[in-house]
Amino acid sequence: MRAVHRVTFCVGLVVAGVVLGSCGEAELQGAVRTPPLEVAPVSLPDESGRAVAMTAPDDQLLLVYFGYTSCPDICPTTMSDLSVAIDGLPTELADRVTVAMVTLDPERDTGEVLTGYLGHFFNESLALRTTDTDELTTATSAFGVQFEVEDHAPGESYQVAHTAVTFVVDDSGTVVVEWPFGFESEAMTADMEVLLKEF
Amino acid sequence: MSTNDLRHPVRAALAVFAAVSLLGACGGTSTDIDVTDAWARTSAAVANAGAAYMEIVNGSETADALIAATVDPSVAASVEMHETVAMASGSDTTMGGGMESVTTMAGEMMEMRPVDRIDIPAGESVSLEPGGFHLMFIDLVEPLETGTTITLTLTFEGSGEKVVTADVLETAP
Repeated sequence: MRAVHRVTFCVGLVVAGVVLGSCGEAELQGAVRTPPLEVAPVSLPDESGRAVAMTAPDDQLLLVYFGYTSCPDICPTTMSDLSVAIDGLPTELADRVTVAMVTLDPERDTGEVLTGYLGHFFNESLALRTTDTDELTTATSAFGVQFEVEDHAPGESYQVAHTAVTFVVDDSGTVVVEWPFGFESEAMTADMEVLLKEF
Repeated sequence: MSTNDLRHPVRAALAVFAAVSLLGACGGTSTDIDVTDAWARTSAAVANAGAAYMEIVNGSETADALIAATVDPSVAASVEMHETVAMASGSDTTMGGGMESVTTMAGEMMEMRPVDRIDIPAGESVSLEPGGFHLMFIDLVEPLETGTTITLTLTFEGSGEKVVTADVLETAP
């Protein structure tokens, strides 16, 4: 008799486990932080100088990336992966996603360069740039982004080492999931579907 | 060697071995390096940098290394061999010296390091791929457009020069 009861108990646990596993946030494949980062107070100027707050419009997602356009490998790979991920969404969901790239190299990335660069990958995007170092580091600190501009003489080529994570921000300014470099586009698409359907 | 000799199993085996060895020697002159899936990512009109990737296969029993890459000056001013690496510090440090800030870093910083050589060990293949080794184009003359190709001249330490055609693509093949 005891053995039978034990079996029943196990089946009960398995059922509960499956139910838990199939609902809620556990479905996100990117990194989820506890407690989450709140970035709503951060804003940066777009090409026209308008301050853009780090929150998505209602029921939408803002994908925030910090990088620079002279970066040949990591940045274009990430932008391309994001573009493929957004294209993988049904149109009605893709329309609710915006990519914002913040330049870590305002010296070379003029507003025009940054806007042109993003236009290569996306129909619509936000090109964010400030030449005010304090304003930039306030933003990077809020996201936990590190960067280091290589020492260089004027006109000399240089690199910018930087955190290469894409932050997915919701309409309350909460970072709901983070995608490290190399995260698969398919998994990004799946994460966005989960988040957009939760709204 | 008569046909009769080949009936002897050991002699036959030796004959086959000798023939294979000869074939191997003929095929294995100086170039046993094979480059496949060479591609470069399409670049934005405003971008001055680009990158090319490929798979390098060393089919020989001798180690080799990629030591230089060049491209026609009509494509880019120069080509450098780079490796993208995650910097040592990062993921578990805190911002602002610790005291007041509790923000955890969002992952390591990535940086590119120029490399003098990319070793291709004997009998192995090495991938030049996003986030790892790549050939960086410095000062692109024109944007790299999807559907076009780029001719790269690779110099290997042991096997010399090899000309490779890279397809310009949106994403990895």
